[in-house]
Amino acid sequence: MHRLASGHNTTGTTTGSTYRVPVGSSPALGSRRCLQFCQPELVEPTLCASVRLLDLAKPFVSLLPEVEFPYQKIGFDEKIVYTVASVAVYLLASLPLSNVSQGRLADPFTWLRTPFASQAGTALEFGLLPIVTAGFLWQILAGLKIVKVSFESRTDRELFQSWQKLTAVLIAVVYSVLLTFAGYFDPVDQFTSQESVPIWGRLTYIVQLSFMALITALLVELLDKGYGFGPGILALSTAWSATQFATSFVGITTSVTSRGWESHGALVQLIRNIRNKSFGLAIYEAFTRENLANLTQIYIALAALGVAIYFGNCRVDIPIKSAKVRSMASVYPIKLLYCGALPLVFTYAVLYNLNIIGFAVTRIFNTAPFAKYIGQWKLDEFTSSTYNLTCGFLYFISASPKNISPIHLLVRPITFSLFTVIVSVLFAKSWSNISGSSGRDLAKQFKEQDISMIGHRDTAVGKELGKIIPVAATTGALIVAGVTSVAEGFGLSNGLAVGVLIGVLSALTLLESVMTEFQQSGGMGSQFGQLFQQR
Amino acid sequence: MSSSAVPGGAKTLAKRKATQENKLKQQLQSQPTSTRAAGAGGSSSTMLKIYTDESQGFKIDPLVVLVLAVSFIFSVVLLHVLAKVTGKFF
Amino acid sequence: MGEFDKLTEAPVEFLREGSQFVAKCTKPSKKEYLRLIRAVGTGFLMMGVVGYAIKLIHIPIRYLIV
Repeated sequence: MHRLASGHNTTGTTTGSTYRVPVGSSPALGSRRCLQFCQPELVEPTLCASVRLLDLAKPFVSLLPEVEFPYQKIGFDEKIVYTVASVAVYLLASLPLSNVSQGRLADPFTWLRTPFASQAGTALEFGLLPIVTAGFLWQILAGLKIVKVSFESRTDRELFQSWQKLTAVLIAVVYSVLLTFAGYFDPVDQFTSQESVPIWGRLTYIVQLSFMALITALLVELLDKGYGFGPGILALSTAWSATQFATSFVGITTSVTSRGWESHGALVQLIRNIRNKSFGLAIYEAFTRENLANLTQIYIALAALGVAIYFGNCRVDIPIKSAKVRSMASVYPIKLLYCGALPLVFTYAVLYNLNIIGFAVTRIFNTAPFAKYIGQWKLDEFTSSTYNLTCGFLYFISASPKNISPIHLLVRPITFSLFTVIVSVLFAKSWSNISGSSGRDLAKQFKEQDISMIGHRDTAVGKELGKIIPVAATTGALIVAGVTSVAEGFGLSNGLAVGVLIGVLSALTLLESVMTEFQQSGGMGSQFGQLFQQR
Repeated sequence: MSSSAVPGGAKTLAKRKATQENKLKQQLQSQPTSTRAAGAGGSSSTMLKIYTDESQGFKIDPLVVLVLAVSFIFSVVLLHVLAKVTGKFF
Repeated sequence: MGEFDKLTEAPVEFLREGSQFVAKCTKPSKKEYLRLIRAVGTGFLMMGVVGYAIKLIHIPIRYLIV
C-alpha cells in the first residue's frame, strides 16, 4: 500500500505546471472554448452585449506591476531562501506609520489581528486582510457565476487575477481613508498632546497603507508563483501567528506598563514575578494580566494547537487502483478538514471587514441614531490601549468580553458561536464546490491519470466523491468553528488561539506542498534537504 | 411539411428542445468555476492561492519586489527621522 | 409543529451525517499523535522564535525613530 502524497495533486504536476506555460492555454483549444462560451444561446445575451465587469480592469492592467514567472524551475534551496526573505521583509514592515505615535493609539481590532498578520498603528495596519478579502470575494463571485469568468481562456484568467490585485489595493485605500476620517490614527490623549496632525500628514497614512498593500500583494505573488513555498497568504499568516505565539510565550523583550516594566512573554513574566513578588500574586498575575499576553491565553492556544493537529490528521481513505500500474492498490485520502483553515479565515475576514467598516461609520456618523445599533466602542480604562466593543450588533458577533450587564455576558458567547459556525459551514459547503476540488473535478483528475475507485464504475466516481466531499467539508468546518467558539467565545484568548489554530492548519497544508516539492525536486542533493533528512 | 406527418410534430420538437436545453445546462454547469478547475493551478480546497498566471503589465523580478519592500521600510524610517529632526509633521 | 420539524430537520440530518463521517475516519493513533504534536509543535515554536529574532531588529530602529 502506498499513499498518494497529497490530497490535491495526485501527481503533483498541477502545482508544477505553474512555472511552465500554463496548462489548458493551448491557443486553439482556448479560443474555441471561448467562442462556444460566447454563443448567445449558451449564455444570457447580456454577457456579450454589454461590457463585462471583468474587462473593466483592462486599462489598469498595464499599470500593475507583475512578478514574472521563473525562467527555470527554482531549486529547493533557493525556494527556502526566497520564502525566508519574503517573510522576514514582511515581519520587518511592522514599523509604526509615519506621523502616528503607536503607543498612544487605541486599537479596536486586537482580537481579529493575529490570523491576518496585522498590527495596530504600523504599516501592517491591515496586514493580509485586503488580499484575503479580494481573493475570497472574486473567487466566490466567479464561483457562484455572479461574475462570468471563462477560466479556460487565458486572458480571462489574467484579468481575474489583475482584478484581485487591484481590489486588494482599493480596499486598503478605502479602509485607510475611512479610518483616517474616523480619527483612528489620532492619539487617545488628544487633549494633552500639543499639536494635531495636519491634513497632509493624514494623507501620508493613506499613501503608506496603500503602498504597503501593493507590496504585500507582490510578496504573496512572489511566493505563489513558485519562487517560494506554498500560497503566500498561508505562508505569511503562519509565520506571523508563530511569531506572535513565540513572543507571547517566551518573548524576552520588555515594555513599560502601569505596573512597571513587563516582559512580552508570559512565561518570562512568570519567572520574573516569582523572583520579585509573593508566590501567589506572581502566579495570579501571570494568568490574568491584560495588557500583554498571559498564561491563560497560552494554555488555550496550546489546546487549540493540539486539537488542530489531531483533527488535521483525520481522514477517510478511499481505495483506488491505477490502470497504468497493475496490481498496485493504494488509497486516496479525503481529509476530515477538507477545507483546512479556510472556513475560519473566511469567517474572521468577514468579522474584520465588518468591524473596520462599523468602527469607521459609527465614528464618522457618531450623532446618527443608527450608529449605536451597529456597535459601541469604549476606551479601556486600565490600559487605554484598546477600544472594547460594549454593545450593538457587532458586539454580539464579537469575542470581546467587556460588558457589565449579565444578560449581555450570557448572550454574546452564544451568538458569537452561532455566527462562527453558520458562516464557516456555509462557506465550506460552497467552497468545496467552487474551488476546483469538488467530486466532479477529482473524478476528472482520476480519469486523466487512469485511476479508478475500487468497487465503483468510472462513471460513478464523480457522484460517489460528490457525496463524501461536502460532508467532509462541512463537518470539518463545524469542528474548527466549534473549537474557535470554545477557545475564543469567552473572550479570554484575545485572538491568539484562533491565530494559532489557523497557523497550525495552514502549516500542515504548507508542509504537504513542501514535502511534495522535496520528493519531486530530489531535494536530497540540496543543503537544506540534508537537514530535512536528519530529522 | 404535410399535415400527415403525425409521428413527432410538436411533441418531438418539444422533446428535442428539452434534451438540448438539458445538454446546454449541463455544459454550462461543467464550466470550470475556478482556475484550478480549468487546470491552471490556484486555490484549492485548503488554500487560497491567487496568483497563477502572468498577466500583462510591467514585469518585475522577484528581487525587485524584495528591494522595493525594503526601500519602503527605509522610507518610512526616514520620514520618522525627518519628523523628529524638524520637530514638525509634514 | 410540522414547520418546526422541517426547520430542525436540516441541522439534525447534517449532524447525523457528520458524526457518521467522523466515526468512519482513520484517526491518528496515540503514538502517531504524540509524534505529530512534537514535530509540528517544535516546528511551529522554532518558526516563531526565528520570526521573533527577526523582529528584534526593530528595537534599535524604534529607538531611532520614537
